[in-house]
Amino acid sequence: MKRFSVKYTLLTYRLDQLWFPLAFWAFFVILTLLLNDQELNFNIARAYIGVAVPLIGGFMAAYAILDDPAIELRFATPIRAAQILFERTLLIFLIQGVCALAFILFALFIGVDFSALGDSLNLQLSWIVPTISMIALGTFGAILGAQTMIGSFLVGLVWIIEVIIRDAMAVNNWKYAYIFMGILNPEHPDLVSNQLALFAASAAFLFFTWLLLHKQERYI
Amino acid sequence: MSRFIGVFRHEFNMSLRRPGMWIAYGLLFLFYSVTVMYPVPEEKVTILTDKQIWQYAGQMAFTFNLFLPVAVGILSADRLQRDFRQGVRELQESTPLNLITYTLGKYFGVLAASLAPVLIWVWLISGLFIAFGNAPIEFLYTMTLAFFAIMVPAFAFVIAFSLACPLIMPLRVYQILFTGYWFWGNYINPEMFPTLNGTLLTVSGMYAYQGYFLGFINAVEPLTYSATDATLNLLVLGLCIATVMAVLNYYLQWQSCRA
Repeated sequence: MKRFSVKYTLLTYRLDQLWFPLAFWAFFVILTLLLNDQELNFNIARAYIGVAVPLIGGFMAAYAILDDPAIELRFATPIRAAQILFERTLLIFLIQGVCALAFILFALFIGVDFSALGDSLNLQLSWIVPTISMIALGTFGAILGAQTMIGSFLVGLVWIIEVIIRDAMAVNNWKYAYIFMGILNPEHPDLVSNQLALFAASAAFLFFTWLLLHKQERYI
Repeated sequence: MSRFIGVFRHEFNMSLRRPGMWIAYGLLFLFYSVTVMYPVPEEKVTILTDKQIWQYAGQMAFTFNLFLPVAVGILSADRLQRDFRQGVRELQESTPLNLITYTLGKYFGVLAASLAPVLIWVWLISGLFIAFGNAPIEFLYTMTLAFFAIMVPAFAFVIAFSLACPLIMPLRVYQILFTGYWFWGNYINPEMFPTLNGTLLTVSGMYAYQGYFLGFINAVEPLTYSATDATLNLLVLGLCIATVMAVLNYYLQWQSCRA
């Protein structure tokens, strides 16, 4: 049954989940090469891995489970909710991960210095934490509202609010919900607490999504 | 005309009944109400003068434009596409409904449904502001003008693109591009990075805010945009909307010829 499920995922895979992140990656690569400025290169690199990748991941996740024309048939099979959730969100995370890592390699190749973001662990966490947070939020929103649109607007809204009022987010109690702290404020003294809080929130979102996925009649 | 009113009314009612829209507006109205009604502790409560009510009305409308059009753009992106996805468009084509009537009815229906709750909320917030003694009664008038000069053009612009673009690209791709565009095209400093911000294609309302409402109350620097710039900005945005709607109409015509 498990093999069937993976096969089904691959067969029904929406290709825009693949070509769009790759096109976006290529766009940022071309932009970096065109502008070719040492300071701008760093800003573009961190904007891509820490800000654009989570946005794409979040939106893709909002559509991951419910945007399936055969969802009723799928729910009629004995596939566990955890398995649906895992295989759909993991695939999105993997694609975003490959894009982020490929961009980091490209940036290192052209001489971008990431030392401002800390050591290599902090560099990886600076895109992993926001990407997982946005994927969890998008999935949770879509399942909670039983509509892909609700997941999408939650992702869009949280992203734009946190990007626009980023300075205010870093100085008050909202700092624990500040998704882009690792990439935009890597020197912040509460960075570790922020990352732990975001991981906990993501885990909670995915847990509630899993609980809600058991009520299959909500999505048919 | 009766067909236009029929499509408009149907779309207006359908859009207003969407739970997603009320959740989005509920969250944003709550966020904005708290920030507008409860000043930070060290901030003194001010009573606005005649000149300041224009500036403050512009400031409020400009601030509301930061996030509200994003929610509207994302939520209205499926309004036209769903007619194709659910096969309703084929049924509509078998009726004597004109394509222009359908497109305009749909557009104005979504626009009115997106604006109506915001206008009521803006009046409510302004009323509370007046009731608390922070502004004279004229504030309601200036706030309404700010709503029409700053917020309506932004909503009209994003809804036109949100109806048209998802017909030629996947919905989620449009939503990602739109959210990214809203930040890149309106709020990135043009001196730091190439952007549409600062050109006549700026949708954030900065032109109208400075040109018609004289900018921030405590601003030290001189204003960048005049009333003429603001009028030109509105004309350019109107032209963009008209172009998008015309292209959309041709695209739908081409689609029905192909079918």
